[in-house]
Amino acid sequence: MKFFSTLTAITAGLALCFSLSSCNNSDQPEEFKVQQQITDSFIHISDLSGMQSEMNYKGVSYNIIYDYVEATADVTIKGLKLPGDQQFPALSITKIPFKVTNDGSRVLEGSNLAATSTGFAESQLFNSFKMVVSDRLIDNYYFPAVCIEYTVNSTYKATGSILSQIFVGTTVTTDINGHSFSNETPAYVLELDPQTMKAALTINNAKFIQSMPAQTMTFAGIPYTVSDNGIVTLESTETIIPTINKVEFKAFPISDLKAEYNLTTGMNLNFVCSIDKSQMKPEMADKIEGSPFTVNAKLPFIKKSSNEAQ
Amino acid sequence: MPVVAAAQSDSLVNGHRLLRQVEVEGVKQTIRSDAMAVTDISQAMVNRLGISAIKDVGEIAPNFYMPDYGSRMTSSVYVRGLGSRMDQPVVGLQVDGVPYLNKDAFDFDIFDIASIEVLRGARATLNGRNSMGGRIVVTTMSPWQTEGVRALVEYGRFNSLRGGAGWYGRLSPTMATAVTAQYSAGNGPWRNSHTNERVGDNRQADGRWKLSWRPNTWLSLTNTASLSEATQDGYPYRSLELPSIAYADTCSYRRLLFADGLTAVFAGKRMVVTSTTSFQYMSDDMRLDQDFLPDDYFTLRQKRHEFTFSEDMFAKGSRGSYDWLGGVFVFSRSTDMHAPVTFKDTGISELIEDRRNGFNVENPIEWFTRRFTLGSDFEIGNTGFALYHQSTYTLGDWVFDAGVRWDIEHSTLSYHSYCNTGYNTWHILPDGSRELQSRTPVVIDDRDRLSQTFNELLPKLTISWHRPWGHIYADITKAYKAGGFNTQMFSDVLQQRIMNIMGMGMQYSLDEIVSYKPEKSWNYELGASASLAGGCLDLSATAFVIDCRDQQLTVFPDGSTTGRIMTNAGRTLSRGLELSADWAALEQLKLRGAWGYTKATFTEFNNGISDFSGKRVPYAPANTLYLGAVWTPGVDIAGVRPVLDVNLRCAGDIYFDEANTVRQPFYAVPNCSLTLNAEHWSMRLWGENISNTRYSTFYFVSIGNAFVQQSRPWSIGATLRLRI
Repeated sequence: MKFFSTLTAITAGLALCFSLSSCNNSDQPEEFKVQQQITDSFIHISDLSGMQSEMNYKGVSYNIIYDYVEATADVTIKGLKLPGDQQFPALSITKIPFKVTNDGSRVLEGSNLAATSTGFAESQLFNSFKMVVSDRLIDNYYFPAVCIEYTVNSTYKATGSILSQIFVGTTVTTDINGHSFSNETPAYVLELDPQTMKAALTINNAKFIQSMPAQTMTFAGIPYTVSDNGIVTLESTETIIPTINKVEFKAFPISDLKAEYNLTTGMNLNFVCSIDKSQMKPEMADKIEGSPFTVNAKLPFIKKSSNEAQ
Repeated sequence: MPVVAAAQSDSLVNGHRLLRQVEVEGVKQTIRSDAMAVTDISQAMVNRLGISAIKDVGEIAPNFYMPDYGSRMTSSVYVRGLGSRMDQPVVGLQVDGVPYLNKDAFDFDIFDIASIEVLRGARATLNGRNSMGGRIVVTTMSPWQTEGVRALVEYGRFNSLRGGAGWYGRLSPTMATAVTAQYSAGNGPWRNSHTNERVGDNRQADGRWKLSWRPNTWLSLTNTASLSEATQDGYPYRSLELPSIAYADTCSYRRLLFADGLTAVFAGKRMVVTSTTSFQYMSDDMRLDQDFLPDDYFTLRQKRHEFTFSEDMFAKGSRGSYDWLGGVFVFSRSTDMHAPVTFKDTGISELIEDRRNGFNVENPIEWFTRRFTLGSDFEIGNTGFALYHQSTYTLGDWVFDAGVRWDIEHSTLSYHSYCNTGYNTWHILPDGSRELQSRTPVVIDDRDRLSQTFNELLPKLTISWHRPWGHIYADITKAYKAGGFNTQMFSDVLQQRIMNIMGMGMQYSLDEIVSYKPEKSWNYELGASASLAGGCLDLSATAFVIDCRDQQLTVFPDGSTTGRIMTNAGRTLSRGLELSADWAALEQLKLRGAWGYTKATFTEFNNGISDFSGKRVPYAPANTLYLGAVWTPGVDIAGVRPVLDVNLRCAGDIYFDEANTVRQPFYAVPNCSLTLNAEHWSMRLWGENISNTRYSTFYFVSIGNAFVQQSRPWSIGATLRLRI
């Protein structure tokens, strides 16, 4: 399946590029390095002492050079800001231990790493640093799962990932009579806005009952929070009116929306979709029975094989 | 003794049982190796039954069915449960050695048919792509065997008129030529009650020039060029909701078809080398009221130019008990197509606006205009290459055939889809008035190029036992139907694109919707033929099983109730029997019967909404039956000898949908003719469907409406033939 305009718009702001260098000249030592850039990410900063307010913002970028021979990585962080108006144009950490896991994820993990910054005499100490990047291709678009966590100067805990993410998996709809409908065609695009701490969730090929024509609907203005352990929680206590092509569709009010997005493993989403028949033509309204519908979507980043599932 | 003369004594080089000279038709078959099911239709039978096109051959060959519906572009052939309404055919067609690769060009009148052979069963080893069900070989009269003038005039019910003439002769001892031309026209037997115009009027003009040169005993060159132009008005599809055919817009089909084939045969000391080079050009223009209703939903136009080139070169030889044949085949086809779909007022209202506004009464949409066009331009390319070989070893009464063919084909589709329209979204205010909320342009300008490459290895093994009275054979062959791109799906693609722009509808990859891979089959056949009672009784029987995989079907993709994609989603199993008999019961009475039974069912087919496993394959009849009697009373009145022919053509049951809920029961169509034969002329008085049997030849569903085409009503006429 392709999700033309939505993904095109998102990938315009998601610059992930690789460059490769290798050398197999017998006169020089063997070398194999890969460079990756993660831009357009969000970051959540909390003060471990509790004395200062937490911060949420976007614009931090990471330039990573993986050294596959040395099993280390160098990371340059640009745009990091800490409470107390501390701003670092660029922080460089070198020789972070790096490994590739069985599922193909690249994991950088280290402790007590000194980060140097141009213009700063003192280096910043990263008490802990962990970055997990799992490559994913959705319809030939690159959407990795990224989880970035680090502690700076024993004071500040940072958690972050890319601003927009796409999820696919199994969506199960259960009607009021207990009948369920399951399909794997919907794709969920989550866009976070750290400035407002509101998220927009767009469901491509949304189809909650068999007779429903597939639609691309957006739930906007969903409040979210970010925890220190890499969990983004979306929860809306108010009714959400979905929009389709920027037009409100009051016939399908959404309530009780709650989602838990684990930056490493994926997202679980639940909501209730009711049918307001007064907003529909009678001949259409008569075709829909069983409202309200409870929708549950399990959207892992990595699909388990049938063997692993057992 | 020249090789050519030696070859005549032990081989059916052209499939005829009596030969005076080497002909070039059907040259790949030899009697020792060709143990397969064949139905021969002689020239006498062609004339007696008034056969002028391959559509007239249905039911005469068992399990061969070619319904007459739509226009000359719709040439769906069903053989042994295999068949296709769209794109690739399951049988090959060859006329005077020229292969016709596009089934849209199968239906044309031929003035001077000398013979028709329907070779049933997979013919892939020697003929490659699209011969899963067999091959139809049409031979026109040879100037080497016929001299003088032949003319024909015919008139029948519904003002059907046909006239033609041909001259056959030798320009020199080594060169002969035949030039023919004919014109046919007729009124359609139906009427469009909405426009009060006739439906089915048709006209065709065609000409053929055959030139053959045999400078010596080891070289033969024959070139056949043909040109035909056909025009047809109306598609006779009737909605089941209406009492008669009724639609608002024009339906028509025009086609210009040129074909030229040059066959060269070189008979050397140890081998015969044959080369057939062909070139075809087709230009056609189809206009359809695509909803076939009085309402203005949408119309389609499909304008096309197509060039096809093919070269088939093979050598055959023998050494003692061993015969061999090996060859190479190449082809290239290039098609330019312009196929716009125009949405009109009712289509915009009901198919777009109402579907969207039904879910949002407060913010309805309204299209900018009450008419817009979805444009589609295509450039389609097919190129193929094949190597093939067949070995035949004779051991006493036993003959062992083994063959293999390797086919590789590359298909490309360049498309340009475009549309420039849009809609307003209104907001209904509490007082009932409305204010403009937004204007949304719907602009599509998509270009891309898709390509696929296939290669197939097609083995074959045949064992036959030959006796003076006949033979028994067993055969296993693999065959395939080519993959490609179905441009008819583009209207679905563009409709989905419009819905996607509106935020509705499933988003799919275009490649998923329009592309399909080859369909493959394993064919298992057991047959026998016998000539008994001193040649007065010819019998043949065949039992077959065809396991067809990766069947090309249209399905609804995951979770969609609208929009189709073409995919290889099914598996079918065809099994059946064929019996045929030709009996010269008396000196003056000849009887012919041919019965074919097929049970073709889906073993796997889920179209995304329903599972049709176990259901009968639609459009292919369970039975075909032909019963004919020819009585020649032996009377001679002033040199005129009458011949009476009565025959019955039957088919059915035919299911028209995968769910097997719509069925045409078994039907029988009686025909008869009285021919008065004289030395230089014959007059045939004929009646077709004399019982006025009514049956459906086609059924389909479009935008929730069911349509059928009824059979042609009874008809009578007279045909005068002259031989000078």
